[in-house]
Amino acid sequence: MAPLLKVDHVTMQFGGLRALGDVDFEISEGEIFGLIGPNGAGKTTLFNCITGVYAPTDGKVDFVGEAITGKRPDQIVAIGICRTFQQIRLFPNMTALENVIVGADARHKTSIFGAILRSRRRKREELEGEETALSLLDFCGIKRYANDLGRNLSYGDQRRLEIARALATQPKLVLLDEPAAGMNPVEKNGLRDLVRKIRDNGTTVLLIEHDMKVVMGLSDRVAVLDHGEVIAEGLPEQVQSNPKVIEAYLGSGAGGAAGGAATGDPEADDQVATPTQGEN
Amino acid sequence: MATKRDLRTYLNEAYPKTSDRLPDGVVNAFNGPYRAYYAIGYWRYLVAALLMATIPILMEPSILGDFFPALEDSVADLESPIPYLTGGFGIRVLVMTGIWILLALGLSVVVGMAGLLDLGYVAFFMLGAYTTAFMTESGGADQFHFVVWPNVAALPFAILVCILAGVALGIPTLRLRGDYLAIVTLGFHEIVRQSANNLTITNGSRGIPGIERPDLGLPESWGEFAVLSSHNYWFFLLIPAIILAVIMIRHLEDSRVGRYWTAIREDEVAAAAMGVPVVKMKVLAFAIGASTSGVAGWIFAGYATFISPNNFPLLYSILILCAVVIGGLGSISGAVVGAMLVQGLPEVVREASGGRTVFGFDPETGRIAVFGFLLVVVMIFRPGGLFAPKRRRIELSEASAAEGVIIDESAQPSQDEIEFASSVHEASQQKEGD
Repeated sequence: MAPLLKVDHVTMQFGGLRALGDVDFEISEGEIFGLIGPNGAGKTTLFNCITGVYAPTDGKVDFVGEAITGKRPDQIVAIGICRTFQQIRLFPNMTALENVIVGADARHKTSIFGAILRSRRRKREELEGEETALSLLDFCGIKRYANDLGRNLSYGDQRRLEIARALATQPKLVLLDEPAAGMNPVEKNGLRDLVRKIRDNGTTVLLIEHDMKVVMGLSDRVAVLDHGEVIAEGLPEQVQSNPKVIEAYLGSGAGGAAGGAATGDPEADDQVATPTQGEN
Repeated sequence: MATKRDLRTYLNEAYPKTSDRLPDGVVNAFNGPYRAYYAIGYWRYLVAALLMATIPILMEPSILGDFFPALEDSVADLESPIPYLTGGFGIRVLVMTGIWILLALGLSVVVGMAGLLDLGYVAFFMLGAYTTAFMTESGGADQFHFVVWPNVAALPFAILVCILAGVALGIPTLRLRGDYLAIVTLGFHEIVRQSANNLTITNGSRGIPGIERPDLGLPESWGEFAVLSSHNYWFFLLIPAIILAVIMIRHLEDSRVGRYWTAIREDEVAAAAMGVPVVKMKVLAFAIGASTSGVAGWIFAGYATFISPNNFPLLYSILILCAVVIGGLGSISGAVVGAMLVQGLPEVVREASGGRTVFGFDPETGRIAVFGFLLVVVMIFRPGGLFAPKRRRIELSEASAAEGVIIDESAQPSQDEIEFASSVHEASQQKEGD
C-alpha cells in the first residue's frame, strides 16, 4: 500500500543554520507515528514544512501520492492535513464552539455573496457546522464548555479544544505537536485515550511528544530526530534501546541508562523523560 | 440557537456585571419591546428606518409640510420638542453623523472584525467623493471630470473605485501586521491626499466646487425632495444606505466569512493552519470596508457640493477609529453608537454650554476637551468598548453537561502514573531537604 505521507529527503536551511537535514520517512494510513527528539532537534520545523508554513529548502513532501511542498497552509488543510500547536494557539475571544466551527468551515463553500444574501447553502452549512462542532466537542470530552470563551478553558481543556478544532477540518492526517505538554498525569491518561480514539475513527496521527510514557505507549512506530536528522526509526522498543537515541537524550557515557531503557523498566523510562520534563 | 429571546438572558451573557446591577423592574420594562423587536424578523429594519426618519422631523417639524402639502400651514410654526441640535443646524450635524456611521461601519469590518489596524481609512472616503466629482457636472472648468453623468450614475463607480483601492492597498500589505500595517495605511492616506492637493484635475487645494446634487428620478410631485435640493432631506437618503450596510455586515459577521475575519484577528497563524485563506480574507475585509466609505463619499460630495483635500484630514481617520473603539471592536451597534458620540456629542456640548465657558475653555475648544475626557472615562471603565461583539452560544441540555463529568471520572490515573507522581514528589522532597 502506498504511504499516506512521504517525507522525501527534506532539508530546511535558515541562513547558516541547518534545521533539518535530509529527513526521510513514511507514514502509512491508520497508524500513530511518534516523532521524538531533544529540544531544538527540528521536530516543529518539520511540522511547519509539512503544513506549508515553511517551504523546505530541498526535498519534497508527498501526501497520498501528491506533492504538497510549496502549497499554502489553507490548501494543505483542504487536502487533508491539520495540526495543533506546541504553544496553544486558540482563538481566545471566541467560544469553544466557534473555535471548532472555524475548523469545520474549511469544508464549507459559502461564498461572500451567499453570506450577504443568506443563501440556502449558508443556512445548511451553519447548522451542519454547529452540529459537527458539538459532536467533536463531545468526542474530546469538553462539550460542557461549548459556550465558554477559549481563553477561559483550563490548560488541558485548551489542548483538547485545539485537537477538536483540528479534527473539524476532517483531516486524513492530524499532526499533534506535544499535546501532553504541561498536563498532569490524569490529563495525560485521558489524552492517550483520546489519541487512540482518533486513530480508531480512521484518522492517522503524527505525534510529537516529549513524554516518553505517552509516546511509547501510544505509537505504532517512532522516529527520533536529533540535530535535524533522523537517527533512529522503528518500533518503540527498538528505538528505546538504540544507543544513538540514548546518547542524544542523555549525552555520551550514559551506558548505565542504556541498559535500563532496554529492559523497559519504568524507573529508567522516567530517567529518559526527566531531562525534558524540566524544559517544558 | 435560543428560540425565545429574553433581555435578562442577553444581558447576562453580554454584560454580566451590568446585568447584576440592573433591577428586575427596569429589565422587565424593556423586555417586551426587546422581544417584539426580535420577533418581527427583518421587519425590524423597517422599524429602525422609520424611527430614524422621525429624527430630522423632530429636529425641524416644518419638513413635514414639504412632504404633505395639506399640513404645511399647521406645522410651519411647530417648535422642535428636543432641547439641543434643532433646526437646520441640527440636521446638518445629523447628516454628518449619518455619513460617519457609514464610515464607522466600514472601518469596524477592517479593524474590529479582521483586526487590521487602518489609520488611513479616510482616504477611501476621499476617493469616493472625488470619483463622484470627476463623473458629474460641477461648477468651474471642464478639467474636473472624465465624463459628465447624472450624479446617481456615479454611485456604483464610487463604490467600485473604493473596492479596487481597498484591494490595491490590501495586496502589497498583506504580510504586514499591527503597527507596520498602520504605518502603511497612514502613508496611503497621505499619498491620496497629497495627490489631490497637487494634481490639476483635482484643482489642488482649491478643491472642486459646485458638484451637482443627485436627481433621484422621483416624480415631480415630490418637489424638492426629488433633487435633494435642501440639506433637510439628505438624512432620508442616508437611512437606506445605513440600513443596507448594517444588514450586509450583519450577514457577513454571521457566516463563515465573519468567523474567518475574527479568527484572523485572534491568531493569524492558527487561522491559516485551520484552512483560512488569510490573504483572500484580508483583501476582502479591506474591500468590504472600503465599499461603505464609497457610498459615504458619494453622499458627502452631493451633500456638500464642494470638496477639497482639507475636508479629509488625517484627524478624521483617527476619530473614526475612536468611534469604532469606543463602540466596541467588532460590534456593529457599537460602531453606530460610537459614530454618534464622536460626531454628535461635541455639537451637543457646544449647544448645551449656551455660549458659556466649558472647563474654562470657550465652547468651541471646550467641546473637544469634554469629548476627550469622555474618551478617557469610557476606556478606563469599559476597555472593551460600550458594546460587546456578538458571540455564538448554544443551549446545552442538562444531560450533555453531565456527560463531560463522567469522562473526567473515567480518566483515573493508572498505577504506574501514581507511582511516577509519587517518585517525582519524593525527589522534590529530597531536594528541599538538601
